[in-house]
Amino acid sequence: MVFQFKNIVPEPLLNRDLTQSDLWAKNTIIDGTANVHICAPSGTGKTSLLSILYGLRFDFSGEWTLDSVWSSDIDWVQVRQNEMAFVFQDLKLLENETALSNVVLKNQLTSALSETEIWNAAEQLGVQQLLEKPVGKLSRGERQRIAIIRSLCMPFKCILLDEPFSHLDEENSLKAAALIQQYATKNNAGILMANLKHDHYFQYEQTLNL
Amino acid sequence: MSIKTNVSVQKLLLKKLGTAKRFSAFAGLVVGVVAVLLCVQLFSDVNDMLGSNEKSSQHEYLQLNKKVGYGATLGLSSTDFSAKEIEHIKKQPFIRDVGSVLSNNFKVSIEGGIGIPFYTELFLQAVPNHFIDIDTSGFHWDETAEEVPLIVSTHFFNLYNHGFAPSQGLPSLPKSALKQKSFVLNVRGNQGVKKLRCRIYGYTDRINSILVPTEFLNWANKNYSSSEKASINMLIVEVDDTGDSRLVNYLENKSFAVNKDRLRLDKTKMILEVVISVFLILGLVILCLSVLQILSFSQLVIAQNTTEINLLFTLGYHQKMISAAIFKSYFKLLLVSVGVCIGILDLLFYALRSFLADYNFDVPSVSTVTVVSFLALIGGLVLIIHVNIFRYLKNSKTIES
Repeated sequence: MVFQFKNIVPEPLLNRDLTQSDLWAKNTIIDGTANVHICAPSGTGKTSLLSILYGLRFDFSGEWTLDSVWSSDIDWVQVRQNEMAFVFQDLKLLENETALSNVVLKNQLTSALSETEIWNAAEQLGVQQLLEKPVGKLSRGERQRIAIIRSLCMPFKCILLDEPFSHLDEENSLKAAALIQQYATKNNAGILMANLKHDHYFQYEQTLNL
Repeated sequence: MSIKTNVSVQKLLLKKLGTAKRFSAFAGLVVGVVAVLLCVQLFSDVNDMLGSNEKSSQHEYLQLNKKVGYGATLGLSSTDFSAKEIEHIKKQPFIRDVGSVLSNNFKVSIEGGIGIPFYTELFLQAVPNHFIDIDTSGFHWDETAEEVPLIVSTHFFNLYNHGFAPSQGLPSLPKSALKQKSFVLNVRGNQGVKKLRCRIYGYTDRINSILVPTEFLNWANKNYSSSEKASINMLIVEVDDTGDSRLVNYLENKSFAVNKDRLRLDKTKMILEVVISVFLILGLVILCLSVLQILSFSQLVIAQNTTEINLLFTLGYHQKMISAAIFKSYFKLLLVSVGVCIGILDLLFYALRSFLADYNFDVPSVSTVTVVSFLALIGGLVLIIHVNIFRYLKNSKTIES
């Protein structure tokens, strides 16, 4: 799972001074199976980067490859089912559906987790009582934990995290980080953590400043 | 705690769409399909009952006379067809074949003999065998033959059974029994009277006459005729379509008389077909509208659920899975509609059949055309819906990224 960047600049950043960036407008390689921290203050294109890596955005100049496959040729259905997990910054949960339905909507596609595993994950994050509630009735922090559980419902080689703990207190953040690390280890996968500043949730092997 | 392991994408996407809306679209579909198929069935029924214009094997036959005017009565003009006139008729593009109808030029009478004691003067005619609508393999005569075969029009047979026989105190007979009986044919001419045995060979619906083999009439005319020349005052013509306006005009201009029944029947058929066509068009319009409504529903479903659909794409759902989910919801309703259609059509066809049976029509069962149309309609619909969903979904996906 190797991302190789060749002079990538997302459209919103086209006229910015990018000399300070480790990634934009540079030739960079990210090892997706390692724990990588992407340190990105607001407005430096953190979410843009993750969206580009997940095939949601194509408005950029330059080129990039995933395991030597051009971004335009990647089979995104297969990648999203088997290779890349993602905790979205905007969570992308259906508010009218229950928390469990949101999780199952992903899990039924991959059959990655058993009922017990979903239950245990929810218990670990302290949201097991909320599974049958509609997401619309959950707090921001509760939703974030549901989104994290859903993201683990697939076999993955790399998990993309876009400010995953922004609404969690320190204790819950650590619990969630532990859960994510547990699944990453189980899958032999790397963690691509995008955050506003330096943190200590995972043991990073590489840090990139956007 | 047990955890449900499945979320129906189909239900997820259809939550926002009222069931009433969906049902109304399919109600329209049922009405449209029923109307169209009923018309198709009626078309085929009308063709079966009143004869078809299209079947090349079934050409129409008309008997052609000159109209009898006072001139003919006074002997000033002739009702005979000259060889030239026959040639002219033959050349018309809407006429396939012309056969001369030979008449007897001698006096002839028939006696019933034992069992049916009756006697009547009559006339005989002969046409080329291929103009006769029954098997004529045994309809021949030569001087060594024991009997003269006769082909009698069904019309005359009915006249005998329902008119002549009761009035004369004679028994009514079924067609087959009459064929067993032999009669005596008295041919009178210059050479005196010749008694010949004759028998009914068959019955024809096509020619209103009493037919004998051409060979017999030639022989008898030669030996018993008072005049030398055998005159032709009736023709039988084979045409593609008796409803052809060129034919109707030609007959009108030439003052030819024809057995009008056929023409009248064709006019009835034409009017019926026009009426059915109107209904067919109405049915097609209703069908088209309901199909459009159904198609706009899939667009509505997709438009209402852009968030859900984009999420499904984001989670790694394939476009096929999403379109299949949308299609599945239609498929159930489509199946129900098909069932309802079949039910209604069955009832209607049953009612139609019993109604027509009351009028002694031999009503055919559901025609293959109807069944094929039905399958084609449903198949076409499934295809259109599928393509529509797939295309619209593809568009909504590009908007997203």
